[in-house]
Amino acid sequence: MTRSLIFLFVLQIFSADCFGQENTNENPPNIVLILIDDSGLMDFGSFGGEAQTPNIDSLAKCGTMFTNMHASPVCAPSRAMLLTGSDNHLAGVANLPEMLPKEYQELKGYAGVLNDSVQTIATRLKELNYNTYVTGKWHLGHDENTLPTKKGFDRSFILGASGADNYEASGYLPMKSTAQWYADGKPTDLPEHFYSSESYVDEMIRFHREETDPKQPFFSYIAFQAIHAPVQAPKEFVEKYQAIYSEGWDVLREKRFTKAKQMGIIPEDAEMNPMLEEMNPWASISEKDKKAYITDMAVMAGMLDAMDYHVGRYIAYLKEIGEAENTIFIITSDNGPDGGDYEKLYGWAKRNGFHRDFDKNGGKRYYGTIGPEFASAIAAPFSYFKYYAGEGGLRVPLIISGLKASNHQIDNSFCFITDIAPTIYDIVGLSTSENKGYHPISGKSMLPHIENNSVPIYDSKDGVGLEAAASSAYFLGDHKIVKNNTPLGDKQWKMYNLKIDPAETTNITSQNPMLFQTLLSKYELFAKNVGVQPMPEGYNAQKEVGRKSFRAMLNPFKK
Amino acid sequence: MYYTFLSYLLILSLAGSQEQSNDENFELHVVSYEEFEAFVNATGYVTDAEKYGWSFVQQDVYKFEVVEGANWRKPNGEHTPSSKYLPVTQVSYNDAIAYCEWSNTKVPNYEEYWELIKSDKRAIVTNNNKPISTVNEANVLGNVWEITATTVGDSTRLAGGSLFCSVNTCHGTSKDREQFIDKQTGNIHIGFAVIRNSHH
Repeated sequence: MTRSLIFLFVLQIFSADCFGQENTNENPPNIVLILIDDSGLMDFGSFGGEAQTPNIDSLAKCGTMFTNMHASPVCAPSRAMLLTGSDNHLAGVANLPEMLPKEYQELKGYAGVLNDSVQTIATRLKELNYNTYVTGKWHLGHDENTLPTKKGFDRSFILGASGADNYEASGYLPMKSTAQWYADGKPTDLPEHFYSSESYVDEMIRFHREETDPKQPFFSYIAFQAIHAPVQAPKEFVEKYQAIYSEGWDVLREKRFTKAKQMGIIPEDAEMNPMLEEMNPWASISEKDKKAYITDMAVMAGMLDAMDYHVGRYIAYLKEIGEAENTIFIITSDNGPDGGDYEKLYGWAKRNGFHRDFDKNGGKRYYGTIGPEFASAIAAPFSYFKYYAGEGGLRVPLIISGLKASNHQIDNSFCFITDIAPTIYDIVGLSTSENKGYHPISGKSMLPHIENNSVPIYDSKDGVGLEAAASSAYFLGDHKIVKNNTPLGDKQWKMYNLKIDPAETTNITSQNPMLFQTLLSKYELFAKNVGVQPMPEGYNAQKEVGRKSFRAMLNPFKK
Repeated sequence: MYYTFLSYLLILSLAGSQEQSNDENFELHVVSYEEFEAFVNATGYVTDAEKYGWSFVQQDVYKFEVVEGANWRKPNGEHTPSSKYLPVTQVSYNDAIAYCEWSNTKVPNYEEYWELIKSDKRAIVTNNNKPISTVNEANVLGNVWEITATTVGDSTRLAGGSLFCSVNTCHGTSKDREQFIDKQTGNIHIGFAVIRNSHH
């Protein structure tokens, strides 16, 4: 606790440099929303990560760092909730479509693209004549009805798919939607010398330069590909991290655990989960493979560093045009680190023009993936990672910067990704409760809490339900019930006290069965209200598909 | 499981071969193992999977393995298809184009595929409860993915769907879904159909 107080004190020394704090501008503020892909809670420098992110850190110094922010465990549902403030099922993005039984195709909410029953932040801000821009990964549909031009954005330069190479229009998996970018609603080629983080900022700056009505406030949403697989970054950003991960994932886990305590993210006496059984110990890895892992992690850190560098260029541009003072910056991520096992794709990747040349330090066409062990380590001290509803899959960084009253830099209050939209509406003076003709906004405005720390974001009666990727959770007060899907989870409900056990080491269901029942009933009510479709008993997405095919195969014989 | 898979594909192929003639001039014909073998025997052609020495073998909708020695002769790396009438699999776009050059046929482009499927007489399972019916625009499940002449960059756009798909998995089985694979890669659930005269 003492350490975190010192940390706060140090930060306040810098607050004199903060823009926005002395802002006397009466115009509605500009909003810059920056989304990192697959970044865990502690990846930014200011949150304890190894990568140097000085520009993001400077925003953190002038705002609030939320360390108890939760997203969904997968990308598209999180993006839908971020942009609408409504539950992902209501927004039409219940899940990734690949994960559903056949019968669910027609069900409301399961189309996998943003529907017309919700409004995006961009659409709402148009009510106040904001100029609205988006660059980066969209992944909420890419037909004429679902591209950003139909979702409130004046200008857009976006990737339709879930991910892609960072240097050219090329996919990253053998069977996948092609990597297609769209500019202002139409398919487009990539600009020359494309690098995702750099070009997304370049295009954003271009939108500002081409604006015919620059007096209006703006909303800009930059959804970086960083640090989604394949991790790729220019050499100059990667080199400095070559040695930083050489002690391996077991040591890194301990470091992040210690750091989390120092920063007050978890209590001093909190425990950390043991590494999942399925993970290999670092000591069992060959020297050659260790080099590969260490390089991939260096590239991951370099990719964050590069992203931060380009965020810095954007901030510098906003200063140059005199808009930085009146801009609120919000920075977050869509889910925890990606523990996908891409190793078996290396052969395929190589014959498709990717390389694994470690001496090149991750430049163009590098096929870098951090693997499940390092993903677990950077999710530490929390449990699981992307695709799972353990805190490691859900907890993401959040910085809200540029508000005058923002003066308590590290904040452990629970918040949820649906809170961002209503917080923005509150900041600019739009209603968060009336939402005529559209699904209600389920998130809470965080503004009253930011202005007065003693006002909670969620009080002890306000719970939050979550369902995506066949994993579920319900949060109420200090408690959480969670059901993690296979293969790493066991699909059994468990209950934890996140305040004393944020790493979810001790299941307290049997110690407090009444409370467990309360949370479970609340989850069930939530699920009913948003239209979560119960999976059949014993449902496993992978097995279900196999069994269904098997039954289909038998049918011709029956006939 | 593997044999059941093969039997299923066989039934589909046989059902397809028992079709009656219709008024359409052209139809899709799924190239069989036997037909592909004739091509290889005549030309000595070596497929991409044979060149690389391995291929992907799909296990279920998400899971695939890299299997040494998997190629059109042994789609799962171990077994020869139980019938020569089965659709050839473990072929790439490059392989399909080579076959077409030799046989003086062509694979449809993506748009043509969805036109031709309307008169496709292959039998198919529509869902768990209904018996097999003919392939139609909305339902080509249970077959193998089919390589098309529509390419984007280094990839071919796959049409239809595969045995491992359900209606809304694999991003397949309806025209607006998108599924691409690079031109040199095959899998146990990817084959190809050529356009031929329906009175063939």
